[in-house]
Amino acid sequence: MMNDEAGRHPRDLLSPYLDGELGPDERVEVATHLEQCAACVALLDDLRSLAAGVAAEEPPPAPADLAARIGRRVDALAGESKVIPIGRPPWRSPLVFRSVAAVLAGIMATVVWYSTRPPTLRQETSIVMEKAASPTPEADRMALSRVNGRTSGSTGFADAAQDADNEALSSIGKQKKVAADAPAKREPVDQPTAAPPPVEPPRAFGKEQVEAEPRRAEEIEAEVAVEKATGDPGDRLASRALEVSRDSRTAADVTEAAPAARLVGSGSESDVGNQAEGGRDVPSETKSLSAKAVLDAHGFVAADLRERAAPGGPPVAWPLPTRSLELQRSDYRAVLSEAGALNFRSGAYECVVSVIPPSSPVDLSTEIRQIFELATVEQSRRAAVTEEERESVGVRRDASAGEEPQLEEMALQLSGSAPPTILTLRDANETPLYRAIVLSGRGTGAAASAAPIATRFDRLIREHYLLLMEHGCGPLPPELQTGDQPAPE
Amino acid sequence: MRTFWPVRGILGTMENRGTAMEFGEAGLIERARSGDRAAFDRLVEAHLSRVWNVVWRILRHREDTEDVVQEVFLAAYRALPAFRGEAMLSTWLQRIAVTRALNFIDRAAEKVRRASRSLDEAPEWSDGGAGPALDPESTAPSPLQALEANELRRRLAECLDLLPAVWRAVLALRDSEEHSYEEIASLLRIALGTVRSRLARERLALRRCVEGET
Repeated sequence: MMNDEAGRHPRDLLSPYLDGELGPDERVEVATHLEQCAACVALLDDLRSLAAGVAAEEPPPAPADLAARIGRRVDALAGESKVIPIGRPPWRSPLVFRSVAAVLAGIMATVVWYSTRPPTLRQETSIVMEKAASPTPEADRMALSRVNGRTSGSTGFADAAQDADNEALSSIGKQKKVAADAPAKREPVDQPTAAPPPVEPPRAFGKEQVEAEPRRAEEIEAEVAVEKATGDPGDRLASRALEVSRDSRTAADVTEAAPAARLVGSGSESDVGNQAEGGRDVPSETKSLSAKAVLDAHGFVAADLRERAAPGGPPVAWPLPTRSLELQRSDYRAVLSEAGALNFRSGAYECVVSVIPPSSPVDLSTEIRQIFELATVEQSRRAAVTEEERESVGVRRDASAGEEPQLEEMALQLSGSAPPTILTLRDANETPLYRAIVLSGRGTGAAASAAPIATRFDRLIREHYLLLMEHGCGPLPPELQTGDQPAPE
Repeated sequence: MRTFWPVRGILGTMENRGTAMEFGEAGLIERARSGDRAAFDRLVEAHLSRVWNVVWRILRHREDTEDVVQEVFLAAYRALPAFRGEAMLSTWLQRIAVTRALNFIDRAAEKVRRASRSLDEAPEWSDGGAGPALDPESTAPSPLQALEANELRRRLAECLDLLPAVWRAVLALRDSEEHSYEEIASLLRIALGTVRSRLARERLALRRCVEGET
């Protein structure tokens, strides 16, 4: 595995050997080597002493009144209303905000703002993207299969859908909680992270799609029939959920169950609200990359914090030469840049968040990259389709801004009165490269292929970004708060 | 339902950390979840020292630790309704603690940078694997073993101060909290392989630092 080139000493194995974390073969290898190598024995002793030393180090005592102080702050928190007012809470006003931000040094902010104006470097804020060292593909698979306990097919949403059915939910908030009830579950990595060949799902979907085409019209009709048959949104959701769970259980490969279309109407977009200030830097441990080099490498420009765009307007665009992926659902709209910045809007709540590994314990770069790879594959695959295909419900190959209303109109006709889920891949100039309406179930052509992208994107947001947003921009609207543990971090 | 934290971890907790409430606290948690403030206060008391331990080992700064520990429990209070007991409360709290502490460090790093300390002055932590070639025949005592206990402790503290915070987090979870690699991977949401290689690298780097100080 990892041997010292000088003398084949298994240096890197000594540490896990010390912790008892080696597999049987490796353990034997190390034990055998130790019998013949006094130097490695000494090294192991050193590591043992250091570990003991680290453990033995005593932190300074906590202040005696710390628990009481916490209690008082919790009291203050408990006294606050849990409902997010539609209007601007006081702390959101610009003047108050800036002074509060300056005072609350303990609050960590992973929220950055990008401006549409030419960015200037400002002392207190700089945004730096640092590419995390990706774990090896083997480690990925090992980690994911061990930690997540699943090796094939995602039934997370199917389970959630079934729960939804069981509980006959009609509120979107609870639906979200149940849908998110899959702690740390992710799709297994089914491709090496090095050179990205097309991943399994699109190929599989390609086959399905060819088979599914003749059925599309019938399925659409069936869906519409389901719509009309049950008038209550909750029932609609429930029957969709049944479809989803049935579909996913019969899925033979790693295709992912599409999320049930969220049919309950979303809140209206009123006040923009939300400002937050903060910055992220290259953590000091990555000293091998200067801040400037990292910036250059990722094509970033540093941006300072500015006022938000006008309320009700389009999400703030950041001047970054990267592609972006937009997910528009009935309850929120999120735009993710390839660099890991997320612009999230839901009703009156809006937030821009950036996640920069490796300083964060969350390593999202791989997941983000894979989501974009899926979208890219879809984009290039759809670019080869016939004219007839382009007229289909689920795909618009090179939709320009003017065509967008038509797409949504079409989707609305299919799905009823509620806004559909739309996935859009855009280039650095915000030109749409690929769009798809995500409907429930499978067999709806491009929509079936877009579904896993949307699902992963949604899961990425729920499992990681939501927590950061809550921290940086304040509590989420109640209907969006995931009912899951892991907790806000 | 697969459990993430094996029995060994639980027993370790009981022995080393004295949070004897772990098994008996389900009732407290339930009451705290339904808004019983006194129950929550008792949970805070029970877990405060352990959270303090983890946070301090990452921040190594008393005042900052005070701030972050408070934030951890506030976050826990807000998230408690969502806590389903699939993990131990202590582990759940540790995840919050590690994340908050690491994010705090980033903010602090920003301030430090503004005080014109350059990134390039940071110590050489990237390469923990290199070092003098090992001579299998050598029976010379390791320089580290030759150190007197107090000296070793002092150097270790100084070297830990210099260590990147993320590395300190892994060390804290491993050497102090005695989590398995899998638990650490789950806590930090990194790959298992990353835990293993990172620990190996940082321990070797730590050793070089402790030995190398003159």
